[in-house]
Amino acid sequence: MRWSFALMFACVTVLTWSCIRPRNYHQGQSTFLLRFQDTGQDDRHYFHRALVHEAYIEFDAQGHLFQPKQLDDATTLIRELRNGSDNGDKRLFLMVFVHGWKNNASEDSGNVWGFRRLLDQEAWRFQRENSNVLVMGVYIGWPGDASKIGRLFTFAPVDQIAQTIGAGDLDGVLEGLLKAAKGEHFDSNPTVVLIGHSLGGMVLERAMLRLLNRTVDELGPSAAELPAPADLTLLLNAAASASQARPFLEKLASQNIHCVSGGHDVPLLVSMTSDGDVVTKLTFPGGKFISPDRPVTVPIEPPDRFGQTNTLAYNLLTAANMEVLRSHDIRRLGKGELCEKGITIPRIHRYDYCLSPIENAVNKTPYWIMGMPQALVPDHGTIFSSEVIVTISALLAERGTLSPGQVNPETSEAAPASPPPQNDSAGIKRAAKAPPVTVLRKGVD
Amino acid sequence: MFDNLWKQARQFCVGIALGSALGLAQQIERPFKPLVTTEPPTPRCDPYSMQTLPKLDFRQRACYWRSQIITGPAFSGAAFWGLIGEMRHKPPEWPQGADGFGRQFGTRYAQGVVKSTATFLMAAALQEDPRPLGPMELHCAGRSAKLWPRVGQAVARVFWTQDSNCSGRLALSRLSGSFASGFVSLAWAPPSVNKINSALVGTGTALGGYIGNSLFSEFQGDIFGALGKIVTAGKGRVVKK
Repeated sequence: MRWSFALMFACVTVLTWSCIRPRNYHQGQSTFLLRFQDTGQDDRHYFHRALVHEAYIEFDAQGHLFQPKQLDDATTLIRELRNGSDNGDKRLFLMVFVHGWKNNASEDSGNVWGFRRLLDQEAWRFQRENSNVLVMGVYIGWPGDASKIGRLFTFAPVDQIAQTIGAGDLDGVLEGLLKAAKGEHFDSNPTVVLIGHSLGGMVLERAMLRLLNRTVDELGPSAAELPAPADLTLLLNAAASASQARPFLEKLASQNIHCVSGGHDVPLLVSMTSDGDVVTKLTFPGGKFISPDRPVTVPIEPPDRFGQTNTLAYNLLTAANMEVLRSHDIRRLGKGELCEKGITIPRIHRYDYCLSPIENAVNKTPYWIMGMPQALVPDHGTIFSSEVIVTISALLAERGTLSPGQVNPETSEAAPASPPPQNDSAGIKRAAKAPPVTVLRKGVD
Repeated sequence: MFDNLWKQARQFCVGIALGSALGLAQQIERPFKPLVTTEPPTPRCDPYSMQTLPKLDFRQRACYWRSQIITGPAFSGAAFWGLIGEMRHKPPEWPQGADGFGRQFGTRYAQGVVKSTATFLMAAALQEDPRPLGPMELHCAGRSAKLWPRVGQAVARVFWTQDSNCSGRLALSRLSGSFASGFVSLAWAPPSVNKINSALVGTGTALGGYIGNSLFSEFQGDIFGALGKIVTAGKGRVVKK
């Protein structure tokens, strides 16, 4: 009896200790200017000498801001950098990151450090090119880590929290950040990239779809075209059911909406999932299938434009894992081969890759959905890498937007500073001084 | 006298309240300034840094060691091999049932703890990387795309380690961890297995664990890629008749 009581007491103590309660990790100061120093040859130049601005905006489990002051501070800093940069001939490169499961805004979170290092690399690359660019990162934190032990069993509650965050104040926060950076009408110069990973991809997609739906609804007789809010919204290995994306895909397709920059189609949203991401390919559908919250499968009569006769696949699979929703693919280019109808992602492990539309794809909307070779992202979690920077650069360069240079990831860490070439051999245009505004436009049927 | 005291207390409280209000007002009205840090914080034991840092400091090594011994796979592995030992009824001196399984499980787990601890201490002393596929290993060894060279590299990594200047040397930490794991069981093993031969078998098993781990790390991407392709193929695709 005494033993069983002791065992029970031990279990309760361990469980209590292991629980991570939602917390505001940057209560006092949430904006920082980090002066990175080069860590040297011995440490393989893990960090480079660069200046990076960092801001944290944190949400509680109900989807509300812990402190609205964090948003105010972030937007004030963005405006200061934007205005200051206008005077000093410097431009702002803003990256907003929404983390996923098993992470939060604490210093013990892997994504905090991964994002920090990514910003350092971006800033260093701009410096190498002698570009007058100020790099700023905004880390969107939410209670994505529920336990110190047995994290595998925390997916269901964390998934619920993620859905709440996506449906909460986040769309307003993103709008505030975007307006601070790009002006009231999203038509100003600074480059803004939004990235969501895993459940953070779901959170970002959910919030952005609300924002984009409002923008698309404004398109019509009063406005023939409207600027796209962000330069790039990238969902990496997003753990979001395709049912979340489906209504927006239907809307974009039925209203024939295009996203255009400099005369050619560019993406409004990009969802990429690695070929080696078994989490969204196996664990996610498995978890959804056994979940008591799984939506009831409803027949679709007549079949929708993607040929689905019921909602089962939409409920269980992520958009990028539904082949029929894929609009683009990324393939390795052969020696001397050119990527004529797409975007070249240069020099990933000695090879160039071509991101191009799939012929006969059903999805021809500006919501680009695709699989991604493991050379770019090897698995679910490895997203803070040179390869991802190169991919982002290629997507931004396509629309003439400010992008860090196409530095060979294999030699980047030890490469000496040198002036950049003005034209990439693979045909990617360098960042233009004044990029064309990306606009949403209704096409003619 | 009490009146005087009461007056002083009131004045004190009013002073405190005014001071707080002033401080609060200053806080509210303070001009916005980003915090200027000369150096960013140092990475600690977060998963990203633990995976990508070229070198681990003592604290990070201790975190890695802790993650090896207090973890699901450590408990489930001990339980699995304990169950196998129970089914084989080896050593025969140990009873069957819960008591026997407890001993089997305890032995395996204790061996695992000793293996990790010895490896951690030796690796810290000799500045070896305890991770199965550390960034330096990836950087220094030329990556082959062919199967057998990769198998060879994965096995070699257990016995051979790389310095920051890519000069290789014998990985004594893993060897000593394996030997410690094999020989520690002599402290409590019953007579039928309390022999040098059994200890050497335990050492080999521990080394086998390291080799298996290294092989999995090497081929993890390929396994995940193959699984991913199988799983995604045709998903959500409707063949029109």
